[in-house]
Amino acid sequence: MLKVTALGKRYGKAWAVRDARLEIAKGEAVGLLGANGAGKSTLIKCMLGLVHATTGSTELTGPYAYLPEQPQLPPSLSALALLRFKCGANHIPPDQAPASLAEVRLSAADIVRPLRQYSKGMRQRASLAFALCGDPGLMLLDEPMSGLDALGRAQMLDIFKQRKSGGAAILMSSHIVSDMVQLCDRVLVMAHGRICESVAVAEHSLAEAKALESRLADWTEQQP
Amino acid sequence: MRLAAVAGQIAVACLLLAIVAWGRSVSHFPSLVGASETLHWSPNQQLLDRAWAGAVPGIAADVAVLNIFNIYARARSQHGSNAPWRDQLYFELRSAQAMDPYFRDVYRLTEGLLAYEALRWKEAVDILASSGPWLNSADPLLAASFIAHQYMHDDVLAIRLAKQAIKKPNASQLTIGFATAMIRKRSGCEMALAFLESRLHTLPRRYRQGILFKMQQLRQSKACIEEERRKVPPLRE
Amino acid sequence: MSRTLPLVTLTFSEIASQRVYRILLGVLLLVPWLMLIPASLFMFDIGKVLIDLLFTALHASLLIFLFFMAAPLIARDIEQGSCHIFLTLPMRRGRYLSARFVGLIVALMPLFAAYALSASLTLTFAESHWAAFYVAPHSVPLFDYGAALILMPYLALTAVLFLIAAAATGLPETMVFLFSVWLLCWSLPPVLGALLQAEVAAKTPTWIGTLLQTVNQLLPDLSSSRISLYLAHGKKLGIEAVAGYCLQHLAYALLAMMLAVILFKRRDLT
Repeated sequence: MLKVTALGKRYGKAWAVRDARLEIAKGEAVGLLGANGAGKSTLIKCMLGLVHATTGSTELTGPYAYLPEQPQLPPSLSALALLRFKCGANHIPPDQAPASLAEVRLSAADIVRPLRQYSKGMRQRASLAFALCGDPGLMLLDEPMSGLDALGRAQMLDIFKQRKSGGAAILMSSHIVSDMVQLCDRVLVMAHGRICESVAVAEHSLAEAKALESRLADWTEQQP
Repeated sequence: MRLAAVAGQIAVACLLLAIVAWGRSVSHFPSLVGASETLHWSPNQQLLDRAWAGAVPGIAADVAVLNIFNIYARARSQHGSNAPWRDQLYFELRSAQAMDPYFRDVYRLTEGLLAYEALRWKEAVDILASSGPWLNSADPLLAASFIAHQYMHDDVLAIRLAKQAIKKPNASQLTIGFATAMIRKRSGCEMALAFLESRLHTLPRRYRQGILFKMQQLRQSKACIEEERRKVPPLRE
Repeated sequence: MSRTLPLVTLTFSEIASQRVYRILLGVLLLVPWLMLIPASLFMFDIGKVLIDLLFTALHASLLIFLFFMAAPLIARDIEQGSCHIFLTLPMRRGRYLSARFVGLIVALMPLFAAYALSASLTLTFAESHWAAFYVAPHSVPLFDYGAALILMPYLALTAVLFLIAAAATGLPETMVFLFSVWLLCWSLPPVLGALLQAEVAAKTPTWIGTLLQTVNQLLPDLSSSRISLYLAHGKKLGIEAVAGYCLQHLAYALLAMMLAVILFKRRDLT
């Protein structure tokens, strides 16, 4: 579904991402764990072509979806109108639009209101619905839990688990270790623009989460 | 407590409104429109006017004509020599003509106000004569020719302008008659009065004072009285 | 093409759902009738004055649309990243930019049509009620013709907006550059026209004229001044000149969009 080979991005003399390599297969969930400024968002944007990579290449097969870190949606439109647009553009059956919005727990009254009236959490849900609409085979999620309360995060995790069990590949970047451990099969620890190590998540337990946090702290404290 | 807070806010708002109203009633600054000594028409002025008018020079000409109406109304309400208004008038007419040389009202106002009221013969002839390349009408050229002949006593210029007027598609019998009379040096009081009478219809009533005054002056002039006397045959005894 | 049309439709919906759009639509229906008031102050050429006012209001409304609806849409799309949801459909950057451009033009059409209709009714009313309506007969077709011609340079200016937005960092930068371009487009052509006159040319150094001419060649020709004057006075426009006028603006718009796509493809969308 996704194969990244030696991907790098340099701004002037500084490397934001360096020699990133990863591969995600169907039905696999991979986490991208790193502190703020580690290069997670830049890596994902390089994969999608939003940012031009300096080195390396990306292979994306099949339909994919992207959830940005801070979703910016057209403020004068409603969530329903936005999703209907995606259905029209990607030849998705139109009934998937309200279905996707219902899946992220946006009410029938909310989906017809203009997006500028949404709270941060509602915008995150609407953006997620936009990403989920059409059952993409690959989902690239940049801080998907941002702006959500504990209940919202739990609901989102359930959705992601369902999609994963349905065969979707997921790449999720976050700095919340506990969320990542619950969903992902393996976690890539990122620091100073590099993917430092890949840690398998076997038990999805709190202990594993603590171990990951420790690994992250070690890598982050090291000089680039 | 809440009621008191709302009442207090209303009271403050009313006080502020009262201050605004008082300020507007006392802050009258003298109008600088009368200071026309700095209003001199020049080629650079045309550049500036063209620049700000941009893609809508027509509206710039219309605004200039509106200014002319205001200037004239103010001049009529004030008594005295009012020399500055003549400069303003010329400035606005030149500006309007530069912006929209096809605008007939500019030439009508030039004749009626700049020539016959402000008595700026040369400037009026300049503006009227420059209509040649733009308008298919003989009117402005004819008016310029008449002014050059009657008031500037420049028959060379008058004949040249009359010849241009004759060539226009709407040259009337009056145009041809007047031009012919001038060329043959046979124009006189009667011809002049007939011409001025014909110009009255080109202006609304409130702008005709200048022409009417000129007609009156002409009738009372020695030349006209003499001409009338020569026409009336002596009584036979 | 399959994703372009939905984005065109979405752009139209995005603009049309704004309250300011509906307000502007209402204002444009009303403005031609309000123009009767200043026009009635004039002497004889009332028709010419009314058409001047209508053309001026058209320029103003097109500028309002460009600066307050089109510029914020595209500049914020790029600055705040809302373009990401379109580009990751996936959609090529060139298609995205083109679809947004066409969508904006489509959104402009109802405003333009409403204004043209209201102005036509106003002119018909004025012709029938004012004896001194001294303008060439059939002023409605004249006005509609002129309005369509005045629209042409604004298509080119919208493409220039996209060119600026493709490289600008955000809305403030876009607005500053767009305003500067518009100011030059507005004032340069008539100034160059004035420089052709002997008395003006005599007082202006040659190098200034050359410099202004060079700058003018790079900008869209916003000067529809000759057109609006000619039509207001009922004069005919040469067919070749009109065809050249339309083609040059369409070609300019196309060229500006091509450059915009090149710039947009090269930039990082962080």
